[in-house]
Amino acid sequence: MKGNLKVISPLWLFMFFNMLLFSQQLNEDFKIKVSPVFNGEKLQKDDWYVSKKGDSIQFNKVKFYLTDFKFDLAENSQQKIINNTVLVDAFDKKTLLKTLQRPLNKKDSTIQFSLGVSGVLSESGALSGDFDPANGMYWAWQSGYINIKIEGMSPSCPTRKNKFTFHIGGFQKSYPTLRVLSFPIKEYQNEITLVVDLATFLNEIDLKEKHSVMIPGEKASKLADIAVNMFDIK
Amino acid sequence: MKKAVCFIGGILLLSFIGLKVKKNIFTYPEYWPKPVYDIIKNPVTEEGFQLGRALFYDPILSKDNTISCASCHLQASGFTHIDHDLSHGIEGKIGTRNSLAIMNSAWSDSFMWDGGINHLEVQALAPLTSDVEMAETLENVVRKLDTIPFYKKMFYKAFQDSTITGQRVLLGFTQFTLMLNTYNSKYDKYIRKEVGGEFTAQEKNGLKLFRNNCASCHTEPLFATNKFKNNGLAVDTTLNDYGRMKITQNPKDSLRFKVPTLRNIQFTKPYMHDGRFETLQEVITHYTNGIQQSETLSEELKDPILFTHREKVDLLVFLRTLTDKEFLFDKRFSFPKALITQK
Ligand code: HEC
Ligand code: HEC
Repeated sequence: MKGNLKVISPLWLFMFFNMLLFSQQLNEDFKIKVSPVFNGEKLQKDDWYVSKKGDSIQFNKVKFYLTDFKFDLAENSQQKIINNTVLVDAFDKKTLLKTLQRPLNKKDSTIQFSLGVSGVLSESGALSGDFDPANGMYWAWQSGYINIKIEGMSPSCPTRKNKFTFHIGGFQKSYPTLRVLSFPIKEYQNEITLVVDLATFLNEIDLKEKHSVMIPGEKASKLADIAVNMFDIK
Repeated sequence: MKKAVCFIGGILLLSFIGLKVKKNIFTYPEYWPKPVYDIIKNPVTEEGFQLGRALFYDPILSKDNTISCASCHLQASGFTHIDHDLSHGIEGKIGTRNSLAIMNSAWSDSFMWDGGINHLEVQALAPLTSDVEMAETLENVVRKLDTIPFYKKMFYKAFQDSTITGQRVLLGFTQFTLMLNTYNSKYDKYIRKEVGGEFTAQEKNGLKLFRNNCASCHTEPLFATNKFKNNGLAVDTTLNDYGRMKITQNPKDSLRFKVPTLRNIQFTKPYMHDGRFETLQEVITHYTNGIQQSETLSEELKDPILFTHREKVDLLVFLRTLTDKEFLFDKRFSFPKALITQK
């Protein structure tokens, strides 16, 4: 009994101080503006675009997860970012502006985040909010999140209704699809515009050959390497 | 004095938790291993269980309102589909696999014959969205349920909030599935030395044969293991199902399938992932005479299993002791009348 107490009391104290610390931590807003484009031109649903390969292309779904935002990782690895996930839908304006809260620190020089959802979350069962499987970004027959969905049509696709469908995901060690991005930010900067250029993706893909990837594996992993290049900051 | 501090601390803590957590109704024999599913984090409540039960039996969850989970998972057959080798779904479409029995799911770390589902909570997504099963989307199921006052009430009782979300629908199914536990067969009573558990000499010999030849994969007390094995079935060339390899894309997993539980095996026919065997006699004959050699065949089955005719019978008699009538006829798991009277 005595031995037990020795363990318990410091634990209580520790929890108490932690509560104090967290309640006093000051946060500030940091805005992420997402700007989906095709070759610099604003991306609109069902408009026509032409890729470098000469394919005419229309998009009807562009969705992806940005997760695990961090600032200046090296110096304060303990920092707690509030609101650090967003499921972006290029055609749903609400999702194009995300406000994170970071600890007050105007001197950060990098922002880092992941394109996709971690393996840990992909093995955690039914989650809520942006991670709710009802968002259509979760695979039914092989558990795990779909990190990126890009769907549309092009006369170049030899498929039914000329559709192309890219569902990029999978977290197995041999074929990971999560990609980490980081960008420099300036002192006192409290927002970034994240440009997502779909042309970068479609310029790399031969739609006659490759028009649907909907399972985890090598192909998905390669597509993730291409997809990550769509992102840049302005 | 110190005792008192401890006590008060404990009471405070409990009252904090008590506000949120209702009484857990999930139980299992204390000599069983700990479940894989985190029951402490997600306890099963009576309200959650009843919600899940309604969802499980309600055909509204399929696209044309004709198929419920229970269409393929019947209680009296250990919650599997009988008399069909491959399960039937919406518009009579036929799937590619024999349905699995749902029993003691809290002890499984993955689901489906190929283990493609990594968590019980997301299991229901597969049948709900499969074209050959219920052909719905979770988003649409949420929308449908949201228009039904009966369900608004059920969700409120289960989650103290009537907002229906995809997560909560899935958790509802989970609560019901978690309760489908069987541990009152004659075999269990034999192990616990209870009345009704007296084994005959034949059953005892069957158990011995089982332990020597089968238990490395169908391990007691669950009669399953969380592993994928090739048990020597020849490939059905009309289906070309290579099992686990589809998920891992690793040739070493070719022809490996989940080791299913053998509890209530007398009633879960037909047998194997494609339902190729109608009787347990055929299954036993497969293990003695039908093993197909291949690169991924399990070590355990590389040496032939030799049974005399009498031994085969003894093994069969033992397998029947795994039948748990209390489970198969438990009224708590059957069609909920509230679905008709209150909806
Ligand atoms: C059309 C028939 C059909 C319907 C409807 C159906 N299932 Fe199944 N179920 C199956 C088949 C077939 C399997 C095995 C599939 C596989 O391995 O690929 C299975 C497997 C399962 C398993 C996995 C058991 C294990 O140990 O791996 C669970 C749990 C389950 N179903 C629950 C449900 C729930 C909950 C519903 C309702 C939302 C449902 N099923 C609806 C046919 C069906
Ligand atoms: C190497 C591991 C292994 C051993 C040893 C083994 N099994 Fe199996 N058993 C399996 C696997 C894997 C399956 C599922 C195979 C499939 O459907 O592709 C299975 C399926 C079964 C089934 C059908 C279950 C169902 O629900 O369809 C029965 C019955 C069965 N085994 C009985 C036995 C008996 C009796 C023995 C001993 C003579 C035995 N098994 C030994 C791995 C094993």
